[in-house]
Amino acid sequence: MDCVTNVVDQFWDQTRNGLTLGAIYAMIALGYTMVYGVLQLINFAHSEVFMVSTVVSLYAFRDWFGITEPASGITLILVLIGALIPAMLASGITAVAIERLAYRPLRRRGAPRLSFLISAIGASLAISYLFNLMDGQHSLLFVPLPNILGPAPQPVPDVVSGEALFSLFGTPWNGKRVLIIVVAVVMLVVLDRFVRGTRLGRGIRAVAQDQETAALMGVNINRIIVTTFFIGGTMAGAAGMLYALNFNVTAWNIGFLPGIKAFTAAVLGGIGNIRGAMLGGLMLGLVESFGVACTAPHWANVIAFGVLVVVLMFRPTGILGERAVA
Amino acid sequence: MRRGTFLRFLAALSVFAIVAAACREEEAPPTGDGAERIDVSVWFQGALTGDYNYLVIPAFQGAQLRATELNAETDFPATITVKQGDTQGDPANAPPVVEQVVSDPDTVAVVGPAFSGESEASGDTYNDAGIPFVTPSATNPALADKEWDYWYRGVANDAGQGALAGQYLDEIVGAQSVFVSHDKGTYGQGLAEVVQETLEGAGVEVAGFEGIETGATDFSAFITGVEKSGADTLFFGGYDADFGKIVKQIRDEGLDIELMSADGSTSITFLALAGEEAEGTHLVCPCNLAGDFADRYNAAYGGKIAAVPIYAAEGYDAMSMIGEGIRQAVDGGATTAEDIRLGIKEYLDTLTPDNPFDGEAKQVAFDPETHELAAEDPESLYYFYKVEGGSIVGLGSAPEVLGG
Repeated sequence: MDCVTNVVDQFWDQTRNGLTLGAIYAMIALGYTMVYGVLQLINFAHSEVFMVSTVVSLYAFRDWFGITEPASGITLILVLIGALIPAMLASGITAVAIERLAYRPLRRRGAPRLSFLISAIGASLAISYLFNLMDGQHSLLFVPLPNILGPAPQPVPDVVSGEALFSLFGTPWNGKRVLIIVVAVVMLVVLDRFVRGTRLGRGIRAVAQDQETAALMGVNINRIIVTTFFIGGTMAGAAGMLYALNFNVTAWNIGFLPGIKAFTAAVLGGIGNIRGAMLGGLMLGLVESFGVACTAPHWANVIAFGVLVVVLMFRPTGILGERAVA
Repeated sequence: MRRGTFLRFLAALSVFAIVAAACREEEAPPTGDGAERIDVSVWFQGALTGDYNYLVIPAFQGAQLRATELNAETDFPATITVKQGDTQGDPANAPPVVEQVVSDPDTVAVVGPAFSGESEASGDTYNDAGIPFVTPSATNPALADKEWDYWYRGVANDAGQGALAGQYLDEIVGAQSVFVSHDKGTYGQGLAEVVQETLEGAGVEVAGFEGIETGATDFSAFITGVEKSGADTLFFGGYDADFGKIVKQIRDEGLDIELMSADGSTSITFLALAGEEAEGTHLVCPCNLAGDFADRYNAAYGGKIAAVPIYAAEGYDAMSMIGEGIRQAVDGGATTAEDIRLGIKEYLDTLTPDNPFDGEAKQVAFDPETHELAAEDPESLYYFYKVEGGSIVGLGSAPEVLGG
């Protein structure tokens, strides 16, 4: 059977592919899981939070730093930080803005859950199509839209060289992949510490467990919710910057697939559970990569979602179980 | 509740603005000398917005350029208004557009539909309504089997394209083992299947035949498979957005194999996404990008969206033929849109291989039976290209490259 030979043959290559892809899924999945933790809401506009960061990264690399060829040494570090911070901020702010405009008005009026869902889908479509229309040729309210992105995918310049840094079991690892793994691990550890070990983190956990009681105990619910959206947004922002850097592309609809996959990862790991999102992301990345090796790329989704169904059959609340943020 | 009211007002206002923007009327072209002219509409159906609009906009602009030129001719007997039938390339969006076209009393012809899928969804209605429709870019071979009497294909189809791509890989590239991939679409998979058959027929090993997930960004799992298959060449049937990313990532992985795709990837987007890594990529296309038309087109439109004016000349030629049909119909006494439609069809039917229309892209003639693009030497309708020095460089027509 091709499957077994391919998997054996491509084991370390596909492990590498799966881990890098999974690290990105994990970072995006955090946003879904945290928002679900505090609001029991699937923030479908989260994929656009991610997309915004890939666009900011494009501008950072291409225009602010004028990158035309891969950088190295201290320049590289400065460029990476100089892109990462604005990308994370932009995504964080986008997430907070979505909360303000699409969810808070509904929350105030005690709207039914379905309204939130529709509002989320609406926000997602509105943002991505806004970027599609921002090609300098369209107007909204008779105000010309700036030329920011447009309908065609835009290339992001190569910042990190694609040359192999080292080989692990015969599989080359380039700087981009190493960077993704390193940044993802650092982010995830920091976030985990933050939620478990700080006052604000305790607030988030309290709101997730019981909003009313938390409010009675003096927790400012709105502030916690905004913080949650912001942190989830910055994680998607970091993921977006790494994504743009690794794949050298951004587009108005680039968030759609990673968004769906990350949502799946969050459910797989146990929605509302931060460590679950991390685990779910890595698992999904690996399952997809090995699924491709085993069959063919067009089966990747069938396998990934098949695994999801099987996992949910045996563990209906995901691998680590549904826990209120932590 | 001031705040809430304001938000609601804002929401209503934005909805209004979007609707207003969507309904914005196209400006009417300037009329010539003010003599008695008949107002006619020629619709362009295709993806004017959406994911693939940059593959279609050149053809639209080509058609519009020609309509503007015709309207400026003092002895042209009609005023053509080019109307936009935007489907975003999605067959599901086609029916309402078709409905608009058919119910427009001034409609005399359609340039389009641009893609094969939407052609399937639109053809029956146009044919029943007796509206001639000339596609500048829909290349799926099966469309000819529909036997639409009013349909004309102003471009060569994928059957020839795939066979020539296979022959080129075998004879010119010298491929020993080819990995054939596609995007699972009507166009991409159909093309890839023909390439596969051709290669197998020529005794070239096909190391794999796989579909990718279109719109995905990370192709590394797929690329690992290509690498391990030992193929020395990759063929991809599909669109530029996917192919650009695949090429870039293949080179990033340090994989040194020959790469080839077809008209769906012949674009500025492909060049931009693949960057320097596009160098040396082979392309086949039933489009002629050479000649001075490209300069004229770029002068008129700045070439911003499409520095590779794929199918711009085909769109221009479609409008030229429709314009000629209108001229002959009106000169022959037609006054109503119905009569002009018939006149256009009669004119298009006269364009046979021994009496072709001398277009910008090529000599245009139609097979009297199928209405496929026809020529004395059908292979001369295809062209090979290679990426050199960051741009798509013509190698010549198929007979020139493959040596007849």
